[in-house]
Amino acid sequence: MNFYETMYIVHPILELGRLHDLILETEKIIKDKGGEVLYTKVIGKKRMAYPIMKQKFGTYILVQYKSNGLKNNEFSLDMEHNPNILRQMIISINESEVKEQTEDVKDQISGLTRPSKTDDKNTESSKDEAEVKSTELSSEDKLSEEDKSSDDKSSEEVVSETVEAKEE
Amino acid sequence: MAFMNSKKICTFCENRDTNINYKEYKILRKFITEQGKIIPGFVTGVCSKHQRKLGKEIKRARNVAFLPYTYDIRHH
Repeated sequence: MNFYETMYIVHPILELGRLHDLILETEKIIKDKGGEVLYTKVIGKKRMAYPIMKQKFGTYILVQYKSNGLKNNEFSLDMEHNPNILRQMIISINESEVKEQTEDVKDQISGLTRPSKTDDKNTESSKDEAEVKSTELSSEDKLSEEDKSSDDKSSEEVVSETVEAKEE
Repeated sequence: MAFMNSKKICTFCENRDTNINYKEYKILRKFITEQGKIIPGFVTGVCSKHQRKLGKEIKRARNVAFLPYTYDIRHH
């Protein structure tokens, strides 16, 4: 048994349910050809370096699987005939390069939309932090100004006292 | 001549942890020109062993549209 890796680009229109169906379909093809899927990762929507089938963006998906490799040609042909797959590439890899599946594919797909929200939250929280810092700074400035004023007053008082003492 | 004596050291030999892989195309981007051509090893200082791997991975990255085959500067 050898280890293989397939990177394929899916049409950017496909999202959530349809994307999940397509991933399951490709996994089923691998299983039908006598392979065993070990790792699937939805990399996400990316801008391609050059347009493929008049599309500038594509959803990248990585699949690592184990098989004897005799039916890889048939698998690549099946993927080529699928109009939703823009490009595919199968390469052989070492066993050490195979990763462990930690997150479910459905979670990965649903998580594709999450980062933007979390980013917004992060930016908001960072804004809040910045505001808090600025208020703190302003309060510190005020305090320091007050200290300075008090210092000035005290110094003025001291000067006036010394002048009075001299006059006496 | 000073530049003749300066010996270039292969970045991949120096940092053994850096993995040459088509998925890490941001690293590979340093070893192609603006037009998309692979820069030869004697210019970048990459040793022949790593240059062979680099060429292979750049070609894989081109296949899956991570990197361009060619890029015409005049039209952009």
